Amino acid sequence: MRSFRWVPVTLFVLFVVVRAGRIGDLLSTGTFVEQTLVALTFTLLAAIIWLTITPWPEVLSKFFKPFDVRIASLVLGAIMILAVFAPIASGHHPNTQLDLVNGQLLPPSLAHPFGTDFVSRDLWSRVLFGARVSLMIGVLAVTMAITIGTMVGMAAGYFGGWVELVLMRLVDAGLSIPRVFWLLVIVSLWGTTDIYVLILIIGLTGWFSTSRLVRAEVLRIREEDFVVAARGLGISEAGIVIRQILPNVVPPIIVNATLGIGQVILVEAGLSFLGFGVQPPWPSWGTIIQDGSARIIAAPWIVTVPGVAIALTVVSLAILGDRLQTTLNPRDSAQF
Amino acid sequence: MGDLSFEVNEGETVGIVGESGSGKSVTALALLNLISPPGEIRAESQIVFFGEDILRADTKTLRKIRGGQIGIIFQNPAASFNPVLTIGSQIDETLRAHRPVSRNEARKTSIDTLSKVGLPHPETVYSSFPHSLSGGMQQRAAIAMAIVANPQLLIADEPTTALDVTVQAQIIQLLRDLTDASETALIIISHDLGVINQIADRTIVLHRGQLVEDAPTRQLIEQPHHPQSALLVQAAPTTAPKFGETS
Repeated sequence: MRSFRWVPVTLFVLFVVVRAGRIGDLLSTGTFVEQTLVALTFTLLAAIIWLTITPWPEVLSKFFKPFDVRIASLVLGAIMILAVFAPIASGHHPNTQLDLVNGQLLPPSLAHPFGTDFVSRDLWSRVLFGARVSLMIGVLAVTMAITIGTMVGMAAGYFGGWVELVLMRLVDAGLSIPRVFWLLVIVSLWGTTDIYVLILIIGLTGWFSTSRLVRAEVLRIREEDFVVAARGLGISEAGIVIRQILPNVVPPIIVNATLGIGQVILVEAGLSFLGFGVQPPWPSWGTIIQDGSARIIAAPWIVTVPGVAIALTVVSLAILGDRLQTTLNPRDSAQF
Repeated sequence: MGDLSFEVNEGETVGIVGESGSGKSVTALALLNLISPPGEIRAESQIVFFGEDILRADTKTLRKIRGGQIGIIFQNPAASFNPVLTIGSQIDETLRAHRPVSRNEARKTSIDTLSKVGLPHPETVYSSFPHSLSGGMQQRAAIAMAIVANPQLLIADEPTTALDVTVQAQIIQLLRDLTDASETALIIISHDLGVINQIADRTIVLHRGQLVEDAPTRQLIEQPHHPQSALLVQAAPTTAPKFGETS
């Protein structure tokens, strides 16, 4: 079975590529087929994580043992499912102004579980659709960031010499400027803040720390005996990079990605709050908070609900990332 | 390390012995041009293997020789396997780097080789991860990986040092059987003359990076010429003193 691992991975990559061209569709209620496709994305993502940790199947049962890990996976799972099935679960279109005369700033009730905002849009629907945008930006931007970061880090770590010198000074330069400044500068130079552009720039400014991490790992693994052994047995340099070094770098990369998604959701929320992110009337968690901030006294639920959603997602991801870190370490799992 | 010159004939087993730091392992790595900077092999040196100078061979030839014609076994069997790949996939990879075989054929050959090195349940071992095997089994698997492509020369760098005594004897026996059964030459490196004595036809003694003696093993042990060789012979435990005998 191991040799067929590339099938789901390729499918996923293809799917993301096809999907990326139509991210705008995510914001519409869409057809059933489209919802299935979104569901498929998450399934495949789960399958990839599964396949990556198959070398230690016992780890899976161990993985979910701690109480906080179970809660975190439940919370994250619920948010993902609600996001995927938002058109069914929401009840209203997120941008519809339901009743501009009597329906403004309604407190939470049975008809509107999270109340309504100042133009009478249903907050429950907006938060669910906002989850799609926020999670999608998180996943795609992080995928991009770790891809670039891994390639740069591997190149720098493996080849060393001037390649390393140039790449790492580039990373130092990138890290020496706060990310928000980077983002604000690029957004204002770019002019538009389309959702693709947002993903692109968040991804392009997020790989610096990943590349450092990967480089450090490669430097360590490169000196391991099994790499010398592989070279001594005539494995090509490309084979060593792909088969010997890369699999050993994957665990820290996964951990990094998990934590990165939480970070990106915060960055996107921050940007949207500043008015540079997702453009109204479309909801993301950040824009909902921005909408509500003007009426924080009159209608505190508007900022509270997306705020809690962000906090829950980020904390859950952090817990899972932490747990992945302990279980994916081959030396730890060898003790199982 | 100083100058060093020796040869190994086809099918011969040569032991390299010396105290720690005398350059044994460096010699093993140098034979495959595996010395990494800042270490270097002096430019005028030559390592000739069947007419091919390893130090001047291009990458492709070198890759063909490494593993294909010269197999190498390292001291620490746990470290010579990649912890995240199965034993089988790593042996397959070595084989497929040298022989144009399909995945299925590679699998079959690998399992055959695993049983040839005396591992019980070779299919299970094939799909196991390195950490689930014991040290002795790991070293057997490492030997399987080294011999899977049928090399003419096998270099074993302290193959038994990390193992306990009983397993040590089994591994030596295995190496002996393997080299006897085929025309494979063997260079065995050890600090333990006892190990060398059990297997090597000829022994080279290293001392501070210099070759101090190169003699048939029996002769070396009975009449060591160089003082360093004599020291090593004395240091090797021989048969236990008889009961009641005092030294």
